Amino acid sequence: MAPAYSHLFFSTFLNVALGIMSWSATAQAQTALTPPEDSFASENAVLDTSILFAIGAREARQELRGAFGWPTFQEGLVDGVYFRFDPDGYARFSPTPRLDTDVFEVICRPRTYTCLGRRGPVQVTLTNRGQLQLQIEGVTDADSFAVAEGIEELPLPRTILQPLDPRLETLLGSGGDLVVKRGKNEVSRTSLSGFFAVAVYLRWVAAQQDYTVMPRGWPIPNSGYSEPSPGLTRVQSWQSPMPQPAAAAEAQPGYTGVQTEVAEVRGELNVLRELLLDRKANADARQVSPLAANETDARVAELRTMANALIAEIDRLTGQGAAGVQVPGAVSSYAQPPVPGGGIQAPVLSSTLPVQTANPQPMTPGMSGSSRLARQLEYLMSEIGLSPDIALMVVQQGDAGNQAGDDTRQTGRHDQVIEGILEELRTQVTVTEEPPKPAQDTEEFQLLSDYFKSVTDGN
Amino acid sequence: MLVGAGTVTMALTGSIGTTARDMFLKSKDEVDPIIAGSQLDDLPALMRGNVPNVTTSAFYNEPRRQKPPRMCEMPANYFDALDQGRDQSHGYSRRNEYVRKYRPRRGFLNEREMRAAEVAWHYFEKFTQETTGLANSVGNYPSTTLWDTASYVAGAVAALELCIIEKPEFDRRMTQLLTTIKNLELFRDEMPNKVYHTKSGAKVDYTNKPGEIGFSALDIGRFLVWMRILKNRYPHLGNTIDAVLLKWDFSNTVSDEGLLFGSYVDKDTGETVYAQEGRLGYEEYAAKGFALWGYRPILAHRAEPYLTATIFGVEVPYDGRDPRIFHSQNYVVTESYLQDGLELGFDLPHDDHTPDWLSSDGWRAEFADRIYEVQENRWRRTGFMTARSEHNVKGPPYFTYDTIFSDGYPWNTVTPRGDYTPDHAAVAAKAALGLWALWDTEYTDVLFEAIIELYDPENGMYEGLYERGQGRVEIFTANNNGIILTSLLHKVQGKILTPYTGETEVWYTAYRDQDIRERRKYPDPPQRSDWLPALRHITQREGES
Repeated sequence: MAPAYSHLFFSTFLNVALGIMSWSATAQAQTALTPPEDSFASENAVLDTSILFAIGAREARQELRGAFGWPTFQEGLVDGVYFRFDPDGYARFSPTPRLDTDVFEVICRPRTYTCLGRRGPVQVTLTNRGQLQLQIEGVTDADSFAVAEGIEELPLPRTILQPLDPRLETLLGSGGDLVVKRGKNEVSRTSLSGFFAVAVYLRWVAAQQDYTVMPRGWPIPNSGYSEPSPGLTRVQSWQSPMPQPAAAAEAQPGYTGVQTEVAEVRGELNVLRELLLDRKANADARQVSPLAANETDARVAELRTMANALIAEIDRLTGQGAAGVQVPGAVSSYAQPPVPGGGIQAPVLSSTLPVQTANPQPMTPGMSGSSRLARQLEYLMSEIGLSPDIALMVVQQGDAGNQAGDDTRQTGRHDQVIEGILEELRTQVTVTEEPPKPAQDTEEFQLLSDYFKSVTDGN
Repeated sequence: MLVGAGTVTMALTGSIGTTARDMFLKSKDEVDPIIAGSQLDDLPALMRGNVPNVTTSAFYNEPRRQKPPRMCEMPANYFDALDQGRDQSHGYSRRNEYVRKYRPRRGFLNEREMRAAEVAWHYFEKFTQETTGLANSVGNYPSTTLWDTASYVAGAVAALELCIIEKPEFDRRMTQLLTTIKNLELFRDEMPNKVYHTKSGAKVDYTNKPGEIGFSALDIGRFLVWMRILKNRYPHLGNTIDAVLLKWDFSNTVSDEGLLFGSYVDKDTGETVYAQEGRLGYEEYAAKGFALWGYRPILAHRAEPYLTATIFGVEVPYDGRDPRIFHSQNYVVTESYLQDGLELGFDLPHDDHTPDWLSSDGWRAEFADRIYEVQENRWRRTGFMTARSEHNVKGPPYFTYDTIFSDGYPWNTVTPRGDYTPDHAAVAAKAALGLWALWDTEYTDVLFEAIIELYDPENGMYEGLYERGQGRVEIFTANNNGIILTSLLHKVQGKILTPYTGETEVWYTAYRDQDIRERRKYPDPPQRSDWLPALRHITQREGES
């Protein structure tokens, strides 16, 4: 018998889940434990299966013979595992397309975005702060843990039973087996295949299918944006009970010209946003526990390093002290005192952009056109991670922008696209961020966007 | 000498030619007179509705089968004289009829069987909506399809014939139901939507929200089978039934090639998309439903393209259309064969005279025997009681195809989206009782013992028994209880479909003075040339061309 496949143990499964996740509402927990006979309810739909989890995924119809069920699901292949999920969040991840071996099963509490992944004795959930929390059935204080890859074993600290820090999460997400040992005896061995994808899925569901929570390098699809017509579960006549996610509202008729490129840029911006949110979470956590404070400090230091590196690179590209550069840099921003009533405000951002646009950076003296192009391409590909064609497009767009009166429509459209993305960022950040903290200065949002401007306009 | 012989030959030839011409010219003008209404009379459409429906009893001049009496009206020795063809050897006849290896169970219901019938009927007593007369598909979830509504009709017919209810209640239920169905809002003014809300009668989507999905040719086909059973058994309901069907537009449902088409809504354009529907098993059963009303779904009724997979020594037939190309799985389950056997006797739609032990749709009976044998063989070789069908399950994914073979795997249990979920494998109660009714064997005795007390007196028969020891499938459905009642009725009465005894039908005569018949593709009464062919098949193994 393969417990991981079982839907029949859902009530028991939910029972355990309730305990793990500290769901407080006892009455609701009882409801989950003893669902009504006909437990199908359209209100359980929390996900829109037309919003793709990863590039290459597709929404498909279920072959229903009965009177009810989910009309659609989504399936795909990501990070080496196949997956399928339903509108109620129920998902399976497996290295085989039949989803029959090594299955990581995800079940969500009805009508919520709170989900739990499970394979064998290992269960994984998200904490309130968005960190992964492992629970392993049957472990004792004397047990030790390791990640095994073939004959190699890497011992793990017992902190894997606490909210996972990014390093442990990365380690567990890299594959192999999670081994639990009691003395010299192996108590259990659970494949970690699909762990990373499940972790991303849990966060994606918790964020109501918002791509901003996707990790760096995740194959974020753009088809959700490019579809001129609404998806199956978003057809008005369908009267879907599913919520209309924010991503759906972004689909605009005629917004089809540069979706691929924009998606790439959007992905980079999302990474930046994620870093900000992470840091905010860490900043909050710093006030909670000393352990978390240490982690936060480490994270801030890491961010500072990254920011410094980026600023240094920008300075290198644009020339030190060049006039009109509006990138004060993260370092200086950390040093700045909090601005009363300030923080992340859209008007500040919007006021900086025209300045940049109106004052293109002069070309570095002595730099030939071809070498400049090579440097730009190298930077965009190696540092930013853009593909060669995208990088070339970005550079070409920058050049096109410098040609006064030359095909300004195209450039204008791209500017509008980028401006749109920035506007989206401002809106979301304005909504989600709390009042002013030094670590969340507007400069950080200027950083990448201004960098793009400096690349496209200033070189 | 040679010249002389040639001259004689020419003379003889000329003489014979002249004689033949003279005889031809002198012969009477033997033109057949065309009698009005005869086969040679090319009737205008206005008059074709009155042409008698040609069935096997009329064509072969054989006596029609008779509708059996209700169980409580049967004489005690009713089954003593019943011809069950025990002396017949199995195999195909020259007309491709088939005598099965096995015989069905026949006789009165005993106490345990009767209790199961009453409990199964109680499902419909409890879960029929007073406002519409529609019965819920699954427990108290207020939603249904035409497939499940046919199961309700089946339950009602069985309840009446097994003397669980009397005619007044039966008539009340059927009249209310048919009136509701007549007034259902159709999918885009064409055919019934796949799903309706049972309390309001409104068309809904799969989440029971107002909306429309499309129509299912398979669901409609099963519904047509039971409308024909209802009409033939109870002629007083005939006009109401005809009125229901004469609101529907069949123009896109049966193609000129004889394939069945369902429809769905294109997610991008919102337009109706018609798509071939049905795979081996269900497709032929639904095709017969259409044929019972005069249509000729000749391709849908054929087994081809099919292949076989050898499982426990049995060549199990499955649909040969590649799921990767046609995006439709080829599930092999018991249910469609059971329904064909129980309701139609594995007979062709025009057959109204052959005895129960002779199946005029021969290959269907022969394939059904294989479906039975492979399940018995699994039990004998592995110990797993096996009666596989599609069935509902409690909790996600709510429905599972518990197959004998699908997607290249034997004993594959998959969700509608394709996940392999072996823990959902179960002895389906409807499949077990259906096998018990049609195959009188030691193995089906075992199935019977496993299922017959699997009920909740308040809700009906349970859906089944998990084969991995998780207990009962604790869900109650119209389809399961309807098929169980049909199986029990079959034990008493045999083939459920009885011959039509009237002269003509409103279904064939209505709208003759208008173009509605042509626009909605209403058929003329079927003639000999419209009969679906009786075929037999050689075994086609996978890989053979």
